[in-house]
Amino acid sequence: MPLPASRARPNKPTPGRALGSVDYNVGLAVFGQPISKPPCPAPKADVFSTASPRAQARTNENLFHQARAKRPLESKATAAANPPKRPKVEEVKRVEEARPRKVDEKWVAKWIKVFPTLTLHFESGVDDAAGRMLRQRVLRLGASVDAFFHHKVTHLIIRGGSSPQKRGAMGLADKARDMGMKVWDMKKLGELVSHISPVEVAAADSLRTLLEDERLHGTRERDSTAPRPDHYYFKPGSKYVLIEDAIGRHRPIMIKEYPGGQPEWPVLHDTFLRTIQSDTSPVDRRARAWSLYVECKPYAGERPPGELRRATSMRNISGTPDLPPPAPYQIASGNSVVLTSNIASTSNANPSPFTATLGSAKDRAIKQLSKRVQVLKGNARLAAVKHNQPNDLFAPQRRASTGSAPPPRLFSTQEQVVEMLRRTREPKEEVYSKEIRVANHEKVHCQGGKEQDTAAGYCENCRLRYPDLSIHLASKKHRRFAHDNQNFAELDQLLATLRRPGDIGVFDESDEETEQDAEDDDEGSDGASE
Amino acid sequence: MSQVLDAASSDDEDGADGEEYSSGSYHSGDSEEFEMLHREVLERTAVKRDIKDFLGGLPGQMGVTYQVVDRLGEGTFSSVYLGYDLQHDYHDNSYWIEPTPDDGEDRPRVKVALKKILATSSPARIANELAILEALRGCRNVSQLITAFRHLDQVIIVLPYHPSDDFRAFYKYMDAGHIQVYMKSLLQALKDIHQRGIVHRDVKPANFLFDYESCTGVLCDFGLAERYVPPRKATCQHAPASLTSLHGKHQKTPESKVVEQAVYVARTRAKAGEARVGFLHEDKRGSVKTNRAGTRGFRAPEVLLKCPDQTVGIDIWSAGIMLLSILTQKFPIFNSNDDIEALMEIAAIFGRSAIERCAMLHNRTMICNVPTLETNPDSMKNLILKLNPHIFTPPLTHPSSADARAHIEAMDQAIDLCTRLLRLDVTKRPTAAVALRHPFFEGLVDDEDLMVQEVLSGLDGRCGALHGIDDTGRRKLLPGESASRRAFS
Repeated sequence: MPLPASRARPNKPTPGRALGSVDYNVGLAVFGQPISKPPCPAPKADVFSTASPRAQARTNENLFHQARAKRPLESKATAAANPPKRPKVEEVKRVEEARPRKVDEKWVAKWIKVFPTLTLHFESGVDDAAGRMLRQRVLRLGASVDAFFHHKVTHLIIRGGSSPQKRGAMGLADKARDMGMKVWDMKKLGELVSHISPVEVAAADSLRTLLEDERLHGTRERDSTAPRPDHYYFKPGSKYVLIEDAIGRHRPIMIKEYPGGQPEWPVLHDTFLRTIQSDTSPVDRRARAWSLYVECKPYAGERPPGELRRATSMRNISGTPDLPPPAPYQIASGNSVVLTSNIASTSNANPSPFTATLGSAKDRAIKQLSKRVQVLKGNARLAAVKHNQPNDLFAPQRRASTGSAPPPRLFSTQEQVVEMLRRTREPKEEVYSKEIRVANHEKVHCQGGKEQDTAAGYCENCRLRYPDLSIHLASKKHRRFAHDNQNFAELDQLLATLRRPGDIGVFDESDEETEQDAEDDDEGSDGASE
Repeated sequence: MSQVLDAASSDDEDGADGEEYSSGSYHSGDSEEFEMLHREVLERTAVKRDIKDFLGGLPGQMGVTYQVVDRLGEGTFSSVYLGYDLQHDYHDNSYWIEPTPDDGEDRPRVKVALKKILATSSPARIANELAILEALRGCRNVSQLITAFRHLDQVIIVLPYHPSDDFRAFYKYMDAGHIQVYMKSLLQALKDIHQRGIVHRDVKPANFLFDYESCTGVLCDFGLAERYVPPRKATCQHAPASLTSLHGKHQKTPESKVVEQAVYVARTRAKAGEARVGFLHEDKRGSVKTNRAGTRGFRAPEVLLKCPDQTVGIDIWSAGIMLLSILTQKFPIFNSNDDIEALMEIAAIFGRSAIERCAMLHNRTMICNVPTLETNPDSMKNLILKLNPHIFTPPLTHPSSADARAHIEAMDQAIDLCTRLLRLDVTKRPTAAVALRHPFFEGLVDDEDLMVQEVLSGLDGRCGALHGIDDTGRRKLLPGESASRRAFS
């Protein structure tokens, strides 16, 4: 139901007012609650950016300006000071006079920023109604109100009444001025506050008003539990997440319904952050470690490692650990450099305690590989078995550890870790049969050097989605873009400042000719690669 | 095309090569001009082919300047290659490398990383990355820009080469000392870039190059980075960041009352019972437009909640996730596929009231009946202990009493730091500078280091201005570009 449309049109006499109420109505009608006092920070911008579709907004804007011209700036006095004397035409909840001028907005923003730094002192106290009201509004803006007059006060608020210049409150006001404070009267503060954070004027709920409201907006459910036809409701029994914009300017941020009772939502320690072993023992791990290793005293029946025989106290791995298998890396948004390998690493083809816990990750990795690569992988595994001696030394150690404690952590000394990492940089010398190498070569020839080259994506320059990068880059449209230096003018300017000092230039202007050649060359190669 | 490199390729027996690929070879056999012996034999073929394609798209002079010998990595938006800086000595390199004593001829050749930006990236995006790299000159533990050049739609950024180890290979074996250095380097990098108003947006192990043996860490890949620009006025229930509060702070806004009311209404709606919670079918309102660039599993809650005013605090969260990975010996921590699931995973750890409060901070209401949220959340410490029961066991063969004490106390501090970095409320998350003062780093970070807010070496960049080279080859400021000052005015 296009609410804003129906709202704005029949409302020509004072569209500005109707618009002023639009975004609050839209926002809060959802909740079906009466709005008490939503202050309006920057009326114009919000109204037009959120209330209605663009075309609508344009016509509304015109109307709005007309309306403004008809009605000069009214009194800026607070709602409290000046009760509304306006005809009750479509008064629902209206916002104090919207001030659409840019300068005004800046000015308002400035005051909103400044307000929290102010310390006010009301000379006459805040006992009367007007004072209380003002104090509340000032506090809401972030300023502090001090009951006592002292040097930290920045603004003295005098009762004034007529003119702030008039020496109404002689002693204190003069003293304040001497101390460099600003002296304002209540009226000035009131005007300022109502300007910065206008209070909407609640209208009387006359029958006429309500009927007009209903005609414009449809019925307003005051009962938040009553179902509405234009709403989708989560099905009974299903689990859901609904995150909405509290201000009501935007559509919901997140909506998710989990149908049925199936726990597809994340469950801690089950679908993520899984615990390796069910460690249910209520052992205070820190106290245990402290007792065993720092104080060298037994803890809950467990004896410190020093007392154990060497054979059973081997908590470190005697050798250098094997590399964990390459789990699929963070490729989700994938916008960064990742180290990937299409071909199975031979060094983890042998079963080791490290692969055991990562089995699932490895399975996933395998699934991601193409069939062809799996074949290769099988061969790689065969080849690898010859190179790696069985490494089952860990099993007996694990069994040796007894007691309520979980199996001891398999760790290695830092020297061993460094050694392990070094080994990854050492030359690999597996030997493959010619068939394997030829097959591999063919695969590379068909699939290209890396997946990225043939991946689908979006070209920001041509503004289109493509199913295969290499084909798109060779397309006429993209080539035209690439060859037009105008497209790169700004970037080139920046690049010119980034030349290496003393640089003779990689692609210097002096090599104009060569560059031309290169471009041709480039085109040629693009064509060939297709 | 790439004559320089292909000239020496020696085909011996790969019959498949001969006639079909006359332009060059990329077979798996060893060849002098590459350095990929550490790779699996069969993998080499693909990498060589890739390097050949890479060079094929560039003019021949490229081979005179850089000799590409290996690929360092690939992502969706870029690939990085390893190359020798053949004309190193023709240049003034003092701005990116420590000058090595001139030992004559047998000085090792200098390696550089060549980052090829995917040709589908807009020139503006590439310019943004370069401008940010330029603004980060002199930042510690941050990859420094050497130069960049363009050929048609190909842009290559030249960066120093930092040898590094794969995080997945070492994160399970780190002792307290390594964790300290790792996190210190990372936070130091974040401190410096945040000070200049830059949000990295994609902090994760793959973008933090760490060499385990020498304990050096370098933050890299600023492809998603952006300059923090505070909004004109507060967009949520927190103030925009300022130089004194980089993560913003709580603030009442004119909308606070509306937000409180909405949260109250949401709570009553949640209690209304079955089939009573719903949302408008055809919503005419626009959706929130915010930057949500980053990597799943590392996105801060405010990114997931689409806060329009995301501060540098999102990087601190990601750093916290990295520390959590190390402490729990789990990587990756989260396995969500979308933002909703990611938020639910975070909610499962922190519990309902915390996530609702966090939502409210960013002007969001949350209604959710998923059972995951009902259980009382464990403390971060218990969570880590559950996942890694051996965290307090000293990783030494025969730990002395003092060793053990040092280890246990360091782990206490590490857990505490992790808890703090992973505060849902961004305004309560310590800034990188504050985090570096955490007791976990005691003795590692000296006071003088902490006092330095900016790098005061002779290198430029610290003013946040763009730096260029004038006609005489000296570096100078470009006028009118001090954007980071604007960011924190």
